[in-house]
Amino acid sequence: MVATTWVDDVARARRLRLKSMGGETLAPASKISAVRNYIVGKTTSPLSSHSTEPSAGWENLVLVVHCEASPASLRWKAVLTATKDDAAWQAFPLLHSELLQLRQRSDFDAISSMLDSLARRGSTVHPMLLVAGLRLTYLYRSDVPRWEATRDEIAKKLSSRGLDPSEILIGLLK
Amino acid sequence: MIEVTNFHPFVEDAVDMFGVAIRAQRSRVEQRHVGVVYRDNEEHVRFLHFAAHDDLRCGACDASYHWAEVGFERNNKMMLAALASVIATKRVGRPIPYGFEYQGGADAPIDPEGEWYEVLSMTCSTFVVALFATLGYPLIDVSTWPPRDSDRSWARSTLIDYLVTVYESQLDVDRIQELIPYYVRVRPEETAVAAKGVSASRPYAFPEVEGPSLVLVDQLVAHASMRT
Repeated sequence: MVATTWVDDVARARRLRLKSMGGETLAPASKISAVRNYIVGKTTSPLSSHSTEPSAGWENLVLVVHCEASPASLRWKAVLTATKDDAAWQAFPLLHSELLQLRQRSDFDAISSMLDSLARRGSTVHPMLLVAGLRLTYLYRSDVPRWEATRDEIAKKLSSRGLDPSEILIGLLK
Repeated sequence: MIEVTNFHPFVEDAVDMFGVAIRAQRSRVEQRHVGVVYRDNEEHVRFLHFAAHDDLRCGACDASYHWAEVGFERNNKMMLAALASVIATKRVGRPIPYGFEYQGGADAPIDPEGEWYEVLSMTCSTFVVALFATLGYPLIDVSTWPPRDSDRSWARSTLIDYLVTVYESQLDVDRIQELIPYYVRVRPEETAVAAKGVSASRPYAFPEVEGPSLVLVDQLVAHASMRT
């Protein structure tokens, strides 16, 4: 076991990033999936006690849970709620800074999750920030899981907003 | 056809978000210099340009330059302005080699954090191309650029007259020397018209850029002559 921080507080769980370090993962897949999905925002309902209750299977789980300071989640919230130009300008350096920190840690899974969050909120987030998420990661896109799928999702969201993806995402689309 | 009549003498108030600025040097009109102008997040207009070896500058532009807003839609211009601001903060005052190693390809030497992805020497022109390439904007298809004897002569004289005086290592000089026989130069005016052109046509091939860039040079030389 490398390190384990038990996720016992659902309010705190959103501020935790779970990262598999490879090797044998012996915890029940359903638990890993439930916790991971909650943390990256794929599910919004509170985690059940079944999902967070320790069991024998966790003992050999190779996981690192990074506990982030709450300002990080506030920064990320500022990005996801930026819909106007002024807010987008203020949110850009936050997005930039967050991506930089993750890249310095080579945490490409977390970058992938961030882009996924942007794509899922692509109907409301300022288009500049959608573009920024893709363009700021473009140079190392081959390291980011699902980068192309996320790009395509963002292209769909831009299109549904009446924007031309081929114009906005020029150079990024095939 | 790229419309070069939209290049005008620089006026700060006219800058919307992100543009390209170019001038012919007054003392050597055959030498052009190019950089980018942008509005930062405090609405100040800044001019970011690679002036010389280890001399990236960010300050005010002036009417000796012609300029045009780049031909990208608004979100992308915001993005480019934001990147220029980051690069200015991170790289102005820090070493940045002048030379011919980065020749305008899709793999940019500077990353979006303003750090080196790969340390490659640049010219004022390829520095601008690199800004775009960092974020995946294809200005030009450099594989269509021709090797020109006049560009190799320019590179040789730049090496002999300038780079040997600023490079600290003979190895650096030798490396540039070896590049010259294969050197393909994207000239400042070619970068400027490619940045000005419309998005749908990018990346531009050389034949699309050549004519408009020659027209632009005539404008710049005439403007420089008026300044003298």
